[in-house]
Amino acid sequence: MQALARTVQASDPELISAFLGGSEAAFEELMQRYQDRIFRLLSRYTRDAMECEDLAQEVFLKVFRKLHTFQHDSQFFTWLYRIAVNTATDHLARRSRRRLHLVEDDAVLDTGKPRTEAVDVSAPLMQRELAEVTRRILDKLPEKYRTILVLREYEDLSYTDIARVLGIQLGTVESRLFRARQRFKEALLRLHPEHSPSRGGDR
Amino acid sequence: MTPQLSDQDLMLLDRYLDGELSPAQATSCNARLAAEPALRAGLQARADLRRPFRVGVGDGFVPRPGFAGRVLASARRLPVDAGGEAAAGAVHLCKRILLIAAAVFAAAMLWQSGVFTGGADPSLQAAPDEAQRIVDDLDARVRERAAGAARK
Repeated sequence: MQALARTVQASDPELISAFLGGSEAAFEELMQRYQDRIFRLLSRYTRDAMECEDLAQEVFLKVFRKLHTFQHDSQFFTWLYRIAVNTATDHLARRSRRRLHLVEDDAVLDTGKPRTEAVDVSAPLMQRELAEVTRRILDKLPEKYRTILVLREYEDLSYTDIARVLGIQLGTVESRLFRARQRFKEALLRLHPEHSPSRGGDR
Repeated sequence: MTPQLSDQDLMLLDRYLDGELSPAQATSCNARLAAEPALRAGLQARADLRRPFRVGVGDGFVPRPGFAGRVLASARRLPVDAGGEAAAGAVHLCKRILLIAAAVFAAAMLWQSGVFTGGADPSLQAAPDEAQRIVDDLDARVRERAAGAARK
């Protein structure tokens, strides 16, 4: 109990060391620390709650098996995010190969709407609609553009962290993010001009 | 109608909004923003482009109670073979090496049989007449040596 109390305030490297030393409580603490973020991240790739949980479980089981290979030259969460993104994109690729595409958006809207951490029932309808429109466009973007937008816009990762998660150069992050935003903007303008931002000097 | 900005300027604005500029770069960008209305308009447009994401930033599934416990229970059922994965990796590597070796061997056999143009060089093979001449020559030498040995 004392050991568990100690791990509550422990840093990630300390928890990792404790887990590698045989402490399941340390691993549980790591999961508790990151499970909300991983669920939120995976929610950008699936609209099904059970599928999301299965993916999250797959992610943490991979972490459980591979944690001994973690190099401490980067933060644990970027390593964890890399596993989560790879798991999600592999899942999408498998699903695509099996031709089990996502249910049509309109049908999903009625039945599979994701729960939210704190559903704001007073949120203006326009805002919720905009969030849904954004989601639909992201679903249609090429995977690499969707992922980089998710990491930057939703997860608020720095360019450096994105580079670590995706295993790409910093310059590639910048250019890919730019292209992703351009693609997103074009799709928004084409499909939902009512939600398009002001044009100004932007293209 | 404001003039369009270059990709470089738009990327600069993105980095500015994302907080990715160094203090010196941010100062320089601020100076340009103060002097260039088109750049200011572009900044507003790039900022507006982030708005659709902000409204859905908190959306997402949340783990059901007991999630961590279920993962741990599954983890306990994983085969406890730290060396198992390494062994599986080694077997996989061996299979790949054998496959590559078989492919190289097959390619060599095909090359040798002359399937590929430019493969086995027929000029390296002796013509029948030439071969016969060499054999006769060797026979003559053998006979000479035998005769020499008999004289001694």
